[in-house]
Amino acid sequence: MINIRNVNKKFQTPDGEFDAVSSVSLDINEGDIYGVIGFSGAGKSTLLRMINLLEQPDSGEISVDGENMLSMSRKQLLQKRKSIGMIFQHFNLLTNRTVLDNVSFPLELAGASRTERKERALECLKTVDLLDKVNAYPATLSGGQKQRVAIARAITTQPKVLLCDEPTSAVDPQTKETILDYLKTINEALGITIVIVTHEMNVVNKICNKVAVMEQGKVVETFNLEENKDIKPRSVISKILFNESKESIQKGDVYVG
Amino acid sequence: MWDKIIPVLPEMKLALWQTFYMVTVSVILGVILGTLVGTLLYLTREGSLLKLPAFNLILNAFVNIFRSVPFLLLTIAIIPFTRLIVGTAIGTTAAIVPMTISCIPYFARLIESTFLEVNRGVIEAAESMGANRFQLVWKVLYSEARAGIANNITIVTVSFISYSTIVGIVGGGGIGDFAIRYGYNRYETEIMMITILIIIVIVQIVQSVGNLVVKKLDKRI
Repeated sequence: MINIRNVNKKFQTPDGEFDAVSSVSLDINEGDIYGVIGFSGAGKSTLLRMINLLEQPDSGEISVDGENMLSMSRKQLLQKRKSIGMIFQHFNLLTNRTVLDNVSFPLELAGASRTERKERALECLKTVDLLDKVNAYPATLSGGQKQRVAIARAITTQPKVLLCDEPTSAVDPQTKETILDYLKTINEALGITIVIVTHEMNVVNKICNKVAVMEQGKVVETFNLEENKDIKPRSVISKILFNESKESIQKGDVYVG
Repeated sequence: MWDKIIPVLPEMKLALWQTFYMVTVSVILGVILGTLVGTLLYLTREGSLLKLPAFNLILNAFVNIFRSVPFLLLTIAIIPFTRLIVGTAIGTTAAIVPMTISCIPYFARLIESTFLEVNRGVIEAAESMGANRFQLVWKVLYSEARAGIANNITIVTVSFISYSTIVGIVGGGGIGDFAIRYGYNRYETEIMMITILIIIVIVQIVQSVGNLVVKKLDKRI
C-alpha cells in the first residue's frame, strides 16, 4: 500500500545541515497498523509527513496505493491527498467551526453538496460515538473528544490510508485507550491502512501488527509483531524500547490486547 | 451655554456627517486593500505558503515607508495623486484619498500579525486534506483569524476618527475641523468641549460594538 524507497531529508539549521531522515525504506501493506517508534528527534514525524508530501523528500521514492507521489502534478497531489487521511498530536481542529462543520470540511473542500456533506459527516461522527456533540465548538471538548472529531474528519473522504502523528501523546492514559480502540475499529471495519508514529511502546503493543524502530533518521530495525510473539531486539535502541515496555507490562499499566 | 450651541447645530450635524463619510469610506477601502496586502505579506514570508522572499522584502519596504510618513505630511505630499484620483485636492471626498492610503499599510500590518497567530497546525491539517492555496486562505486562514480581523477593524476605525480631525487642512471638514474652527480660532471653548465629548461617545460606541462582534465571532474559548 505504501512503499518508501531510500528516502532522504535534510534540514538546514543555524548549526549546519541536519539529517532528519536518511536512506529509509519501508513497505507497508494493505490492512497494516504500522507503528513507527523512536525517541523525539528520531525523524519519525518527518518520515510520516513525507508520505503525503507535507514534507518534500530530498531524494528517494514514495508510492501510495501504486501511485508515485513524487512524479505527480500539484493538482494530482491535492486530489491524491483526499485518499490519505491524517490526524495530529494537537488535533488541529478549526476553532471557529462546530464539530459537524469540522467533520464535513474535507467534503466542503472537495465541493460536495450541503446535504451530502451533512449525511456523511453524521455517519463518521457515529463511528466515533460523538453524535451528541454535533453542534459543539472544539474549545468545549476534552482532548479525547477532539481527537475523535479529528478521526471522524480524517475518514469522511473514505481514505485508504490514515497517517497518525503521535495521536495519543496529548491525551490522558484512559482516553489513550479509547483513541486506540477507535483506530483499531477503523482499521478492521473500514479496511483503512494505518501508519502511526509514536514514542510510546504501549501504543505499539496495543494496536500495531508491525513496527519500525527509528534512531537518528534511520530505521534501525523492523518487527512483525503478529508472526513473532517472542521479539528479540538486537539494536540498543530497540532493547531500550522493548524492555521499557516489558517493565511497564509487569507494572501492569499497559493494556495488552 | 445652549445659546452658543444651538446656532451652530446645523453646522455640527454637517461636520458629523462628513466625519462619518470620510471614516466609513476610507476604512472600508483600507480594510479591503489592507487585507490583500497583509495576506500577501503573510503568504510570501519565508516558510509560509508561497515563499517569495524577494517579493516579501519589497512589499515590506513599501509598507514601512508609508507607515513612517506622518499623516499630516502624507496628506499634503500626495496632493497631486489625490487630484489625479478624484479630480480635486480639496474637500471631503478628496480627504478620503490620504486616509485610505494611510489605512492600507496600517491595516496590512495589523492583519499580518493576526495571521501569524493562527495555528500553523490547522493550516497543515487542511493541506493534508488536499486544500488548494485559495481554500487555505479563504476557508482556513480568514476563518481562523476572523475575531482578530474584527478587532483590527475596530482599532483602525477608532484611529481614523482621530486622523479625520487632521484633514481640515485640505478642506475635508469633519467634526475635528469644526472643533478647531470654533474652539481654537474663535475661542469658543464650550463648543470645543462639547465636540470632544461627542467624539468620546462615538469612540465608545464603536469600541463596544467592535468588542461585541469579536466576542460573537470568537469560538476559541
